[in-house]
Amino acid sequence: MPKLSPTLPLESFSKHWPGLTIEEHYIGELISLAIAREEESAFKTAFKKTFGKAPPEPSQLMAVKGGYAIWSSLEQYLILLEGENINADKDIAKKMGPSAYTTLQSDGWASIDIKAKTSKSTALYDVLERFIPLNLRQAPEGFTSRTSAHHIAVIVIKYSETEIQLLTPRSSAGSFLESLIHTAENVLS
Amino acid sequence: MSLIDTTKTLNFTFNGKAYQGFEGDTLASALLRNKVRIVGRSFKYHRPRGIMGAGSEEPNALVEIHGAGTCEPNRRATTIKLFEGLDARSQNHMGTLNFDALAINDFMHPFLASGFYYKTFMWPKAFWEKLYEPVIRRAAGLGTLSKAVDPDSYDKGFLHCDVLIIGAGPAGLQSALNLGLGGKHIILADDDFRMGGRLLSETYEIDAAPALTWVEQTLKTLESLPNVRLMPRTAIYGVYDHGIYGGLETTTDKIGIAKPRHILWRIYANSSILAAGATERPIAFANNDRPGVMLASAVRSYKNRFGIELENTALLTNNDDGLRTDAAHIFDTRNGDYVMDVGGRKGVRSVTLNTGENVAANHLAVSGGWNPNVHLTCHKRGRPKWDEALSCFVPDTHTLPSDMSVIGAANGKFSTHGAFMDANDICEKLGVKASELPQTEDAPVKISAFWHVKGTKRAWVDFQNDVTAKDITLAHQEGFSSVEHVKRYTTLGMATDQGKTSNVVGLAVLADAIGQSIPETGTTIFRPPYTPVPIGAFAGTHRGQHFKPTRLTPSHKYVAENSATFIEAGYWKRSQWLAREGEKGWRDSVDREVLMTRNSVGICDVTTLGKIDVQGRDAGKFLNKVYVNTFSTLKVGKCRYGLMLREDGIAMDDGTTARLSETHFVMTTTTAKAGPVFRHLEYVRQCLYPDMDVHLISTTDQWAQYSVAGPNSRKLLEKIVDPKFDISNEAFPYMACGEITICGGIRARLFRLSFSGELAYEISVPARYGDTLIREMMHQGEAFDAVLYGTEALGVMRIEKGHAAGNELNGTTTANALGLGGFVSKKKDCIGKVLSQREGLVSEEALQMVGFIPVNPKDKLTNGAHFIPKGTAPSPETDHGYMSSVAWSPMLKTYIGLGFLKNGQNRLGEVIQASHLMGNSHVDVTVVSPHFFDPKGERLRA
Amino acid sequence: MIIHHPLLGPRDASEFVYLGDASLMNRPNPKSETAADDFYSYQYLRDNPMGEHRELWYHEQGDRSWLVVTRNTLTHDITKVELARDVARAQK
Repeated sequence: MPKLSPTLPLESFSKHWPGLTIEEHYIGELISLAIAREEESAFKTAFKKTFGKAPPEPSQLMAVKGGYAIWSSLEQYLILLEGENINADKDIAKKMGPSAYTTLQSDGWASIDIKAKTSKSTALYDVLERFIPLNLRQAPEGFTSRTSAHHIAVIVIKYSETEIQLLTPRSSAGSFLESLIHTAENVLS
Repeated sequence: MSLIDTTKTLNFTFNGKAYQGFEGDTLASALLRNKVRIVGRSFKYHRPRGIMGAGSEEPNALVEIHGAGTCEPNRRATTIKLFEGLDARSQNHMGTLNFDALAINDFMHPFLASGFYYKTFMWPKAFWEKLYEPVIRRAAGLGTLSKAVDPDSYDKGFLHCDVLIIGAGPAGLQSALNLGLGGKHIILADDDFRMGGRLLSETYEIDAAPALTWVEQTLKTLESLPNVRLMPRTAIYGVYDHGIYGGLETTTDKIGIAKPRHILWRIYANSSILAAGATERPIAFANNDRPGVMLASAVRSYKNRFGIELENTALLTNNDDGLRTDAAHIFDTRNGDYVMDVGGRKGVRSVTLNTGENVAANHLAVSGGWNPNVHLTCHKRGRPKWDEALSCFVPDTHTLPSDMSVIGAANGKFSTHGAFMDANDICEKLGVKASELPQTEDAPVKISAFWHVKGTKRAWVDFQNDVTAKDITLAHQEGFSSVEHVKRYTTLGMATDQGKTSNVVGLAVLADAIGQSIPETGTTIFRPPYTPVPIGAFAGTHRGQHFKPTRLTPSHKYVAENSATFIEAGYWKRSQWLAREGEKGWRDSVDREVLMTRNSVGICDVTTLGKIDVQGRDAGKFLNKVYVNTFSTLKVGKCRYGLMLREDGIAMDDGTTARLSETHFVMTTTTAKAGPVFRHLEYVRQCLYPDMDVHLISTTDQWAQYSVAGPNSRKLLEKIVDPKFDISNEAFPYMACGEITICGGIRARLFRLSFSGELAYEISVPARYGDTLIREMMHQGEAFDAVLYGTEALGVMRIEKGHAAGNELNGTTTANALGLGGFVSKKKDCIGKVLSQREGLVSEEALQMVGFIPVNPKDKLTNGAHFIPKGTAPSPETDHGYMSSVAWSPMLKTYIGLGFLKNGQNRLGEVIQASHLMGNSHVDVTVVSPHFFDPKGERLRA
Repeated sequence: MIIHHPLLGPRDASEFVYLGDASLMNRPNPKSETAADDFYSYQYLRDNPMGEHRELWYHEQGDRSWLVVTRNTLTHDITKVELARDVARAQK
């Protein structure tokens, strides 16, 4: 049987400036979890059993077994799992039972990592203030939010003062990255 | 004391002549330094004009800068920071600045008074288009546009702060100091390239030292605070809802540099402090527009900040502040002295007083009082109120934008001490301990209102739009007495300076003419922008290719390698056709793609069609609400075509929905409607049926999806579908669906759907495998001469089959019109059901979709043609419908069309005329069934 | 304009899509004898008040929730923001 090989949305893009790096981040698997109506407590129990913690509150990234979880909508969560497993949604569906509806989302998104060299470098926030409308400078570590930047959807995750991850839909990721690099050039060169 | 660096010389040109200035000069100060008296010609009368002010209020010194392709018109010389190589030119003259041919307008002035546009150019009517309008267009406007593409770049950004302080004069700086030391996140913005406001132009002392020392120390402290952001050369031009402000930062006036010239900032502030200062106003008297007549505050700016002594200056003032100006001759209106006339058309030579005395002078400094810069308080419909004692408008605290406080001169506190006190007060109110009040001057305001010297000669009020006191009294005489009418009738305050030096004087002249007080007369208010903002700044980086995002399909790289011509479908790029060597035009490619697909097998990327995951115990019930037909009865492993209506009964979108399990459906939408349908579904779910157990999520980008169509499609798929999955016709009939694996265990989904009418499937894999899958399918397809086909061939095939698409779902058609009336379930309600039954939508005369073939097979059909009964002249009354889709059918070897015809279903066989008036074509067509090719659908079910 | 999302805090209005009057949530009974007239009013007739207006906004570039926003059409002040789903449930 012929074999198929996967491709990354941004072809492992990477670019460095003094004090800042922008590169594609291997996304692992993304699974959307939705709570079945009137199954909130069954869901919470199953979630805790599967991921080790109760589901997260809006706007705060939460480390869980296997990766991270974020609140994405009313009764809806996005799980970010490390490693490759194209059937991750089915595996989670089995563990969560009928209290949850799962959807594979990994291929719908591209992930971009923006890292400052040191905490003293202002490059990270100088660039992002031209790109993302949110107040990232003063946001706490673990802050996460979905918004739009340059007319494209983006999920922003502030992992630490020096590292911010941007998730953006796959089909427009090339366009998004181009805008981001252009912005970085405007600020840093 | 001047702030000029005389060690750094800068070369510039004005009207082609070379001059020199210094670092720290504006173009205006450099011109004055070089004794250039005339810098432009006035708008209407083309009178010689000189520099009048020193800031953004400047009405006269409008210049264009840079070369031919990059020319920027209407720049104020007073706000251009001088740089090496600046090339500037005066505006608005025919011929040279010194010998302007249009100066004849000045002698025609009795005919050019306010409102003359409404009284002249009325007759003869024919002359308007051919003579008057072209002439007026040529004369209208101030600068000229280069009409070349702007080569510079711009950027935009977002800032957040606790307090936005607008203006970095004493009030703004003291507030910034207090709030900054108090730990608040603040932005201090000033449109000048040096912070300090009026302190830069006066000779005040603060704490027994020159004011500049305090400014420098304060700025040094502010620069050291990480919670303070200093933004010089940043004009806060607009106040918007809920604490949002617009700021335009200028990085440079130079061109041809890589960095953005302007950054447009959207500033989110919890509160703001308006410390924007005040602008001096002149007094109106005969010939007060001569070059050399200037605002007294500007004369002091040029002396103190720029080190320029203007020779032989006389002073006219109605207040004490004006007396700060060094002048050889002082005329104080409070002593009964005033100016009747100014001599010297090309530059002040003499001043005539009311006593009859003629005084020789080269400059006349005028001070009519100060107007607080209240503009930003009006952007949210705030109305300033008149202060009789101060003789000016001040902000009305009851109508300020939310969370805005006004301090200092902007609030009518004109002394430096008053500014500091206001700053300390506001900081205490914001919960921050204020630092000690610096010791400084606290001169009281002593002013006696004096606006206008009446006389027979013209006295200017609005210098930029050439509006005189006479124009205002004339407007009142003609019945335009409301201040809003006077503004529009005379154009007072409507030029690029927005009346900064003229509004209040004009208002006073009007009040006097009417015989009422200024408060009784009222005032016009202001909208953003406070100062001009280049359109490029609003665009930012969104220009050309970057105007909107681009979405690429998983097969993009591969089809680009195969000579695809792309079409934009919304943000998407889709292949329209893929040319092969030897093909002369698109028809060759498209015809070939259709023939090869129908004869063997073709592959098309259909990833762009919206895919929505619908899951839940009530998923079927939910779909019944949004589709006209029933989905709760759809069996697992089957697909069904669905039509969705808007609530008004008009067709919104269509697609196929597949059932993968009891609680799991996958809906498809058209490409264009993916977003709007998702929005609509969420609205139905959350707002209308919030108790249903149903969840939605978009999966358009998640799954790469390819249509594999043609008699050999199954054979091709059998080469990649893993053997354990039986896709024979019996096991996987038309409209079946299922989750499968391909290529040795790769997760996939297969749907037996056909838009082309051929035996066809859609195969879907997670997008990470999209590129590799199409390459593999085309490789396996070599055995069948598989072809890639694009949207054009896709379109031809669906028209051959009579399938409705975007052209038919055009926002005006109903289920009935589409021939789907019987498809609407009678057993259940759905969105749009009730209103779809409206008389006009179901009557016999309603439009119905049918097919059309030209009577003469050589004739071409045109989309958009209207159907007219044969032998009748085309008119709205004889219009029976329109053509919505046309194609050349390679299978039938004729043009075919789909369209809407009144009562079309009952007129099959009729010959009618298809008239396209714009293309002047009238073609006889026969009305036929829209199912042109394989009408029984035999190929589908093979 | 800024809309204070009940769960996410202040958000720029550019993240939202406006639909219209919140009366759209009161979909008439299609089985009623007066359904035709009811749906006609529901679909086409609006009060257009100067002052407080309850309206539907969709957080398309955020959490995809629908919100009922009470906004003053004259001053643009927003005095209340609720999850449309909660309002819809309370109405039943």
